[in-house]
Amino acid sequence: MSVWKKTSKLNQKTHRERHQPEDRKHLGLLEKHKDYVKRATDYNEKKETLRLLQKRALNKNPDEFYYHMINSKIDKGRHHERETEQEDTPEQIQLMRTQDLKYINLKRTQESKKIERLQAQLHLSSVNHQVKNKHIYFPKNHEKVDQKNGAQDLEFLANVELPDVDVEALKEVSKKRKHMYIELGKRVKREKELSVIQQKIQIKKHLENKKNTLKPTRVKKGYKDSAPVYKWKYERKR
Amino acid sequence: MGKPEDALVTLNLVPGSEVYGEKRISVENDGGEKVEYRVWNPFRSKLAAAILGGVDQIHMPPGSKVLYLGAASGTTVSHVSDVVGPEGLVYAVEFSHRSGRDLINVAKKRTNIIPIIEDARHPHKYRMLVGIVDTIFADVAQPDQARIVAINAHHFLKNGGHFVISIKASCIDSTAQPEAVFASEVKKLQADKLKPQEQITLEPYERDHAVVVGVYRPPPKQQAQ
Repeated sequence: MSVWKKTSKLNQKTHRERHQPEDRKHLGLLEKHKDYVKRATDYNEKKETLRLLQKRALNKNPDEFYYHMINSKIDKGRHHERETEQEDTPEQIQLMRTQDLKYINLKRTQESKKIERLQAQLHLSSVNHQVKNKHIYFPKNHEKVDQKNGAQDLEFLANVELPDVDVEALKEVSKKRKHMYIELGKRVKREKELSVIQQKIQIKKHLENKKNTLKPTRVKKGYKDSAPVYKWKYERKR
Repeated sequence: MGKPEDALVTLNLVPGSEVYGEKRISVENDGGEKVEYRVWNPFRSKLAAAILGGVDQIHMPPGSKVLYLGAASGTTVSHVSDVVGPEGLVYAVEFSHRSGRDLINVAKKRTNIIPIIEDARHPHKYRMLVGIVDTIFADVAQPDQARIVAINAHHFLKNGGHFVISIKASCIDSTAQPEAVFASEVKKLQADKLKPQEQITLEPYERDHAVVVGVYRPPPKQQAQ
């Protein structure tokens, strides 16, 4: 008969919800149907949860063992986590982090000094590097681009007579040089890794700073080869 | 036993002394005399990076006169003074007093360097010190670098003399593409009678740097031929 009910209501006047009358103002805002629905669903959810928990408590096997029981206890019918004492105070943790950072900084400076020292004697002139430079010749007064000079030099180098050299010594030296280049490559890589670690620790330290009244927002996620990027809100200093 | 070095060197003008802690290499030549070379680090010097990159000409033969703008502490200047030799001259201009002090110390040992602590934007302030030069080298890293080189060229560079400019793209326009910056600098030079001949970028020693070599007011060509 619900169809009939709907059709009978079709010509009915729709009553709009009224607000709280003036003389009942002291009772606060008048609850509307929308609000009532929210309150009712919340109430029912809670009732259902309580019912479920009660049921579980009744069904519980008192002889059952869980590992979590080692670190927790029931006191007067209430469940408590056993409190473990913190090994380090926040101040101590901060201090350790500072020391870590200082150590990383030290290692990084050592590494960059060593790189500099190696680069001073290894000028990459005998290495085929992947990064090619660009060499442009500008045409003089509508002439064609002139690239002869370089070719002439190469020709000269191909034909020039070299003085007598100790081939054995040359071989040994080139072997040593190769090892030095390998070392340089490793050091450059290590320095890069250290710089990432340094940035990550630094960021973590800044995030834990108690002076942050507004939480900084993360702009970029951190990766293996780059630290995360955070943005702090500008705070006016007096 | 040889040392496993792979380095650019210059013949030391003042044997037995170094300038900025660089390595020195002594070699006996055919006559049994000892000659000393100094290692020229391309990671610190744009000119050395350009040479190792394969630039055709730097126009600083022995005995030439060079005006060096932006000399800083005189590390590269000392190598240029090695290259031009005792017959040549290097006028080294630097504005900062702090690095100027180091420059003067370098010049004390090397008599072919004339240190000038002055702003390169105002060449009339040091015009009484500098004669006509064969080549201008500029490493000033200023947005108006082309103009600085041009006014110095108008004052001191001989007709048909050469210029060598190192351009740092981020110093001129940090937002534009480096290639575009280099091209615009070349345009500016051309407007000031400085004719660029070649341009080389400084990878792998420096990022977004270029060295431009060119000629100033070349003599007109004979039309009969």
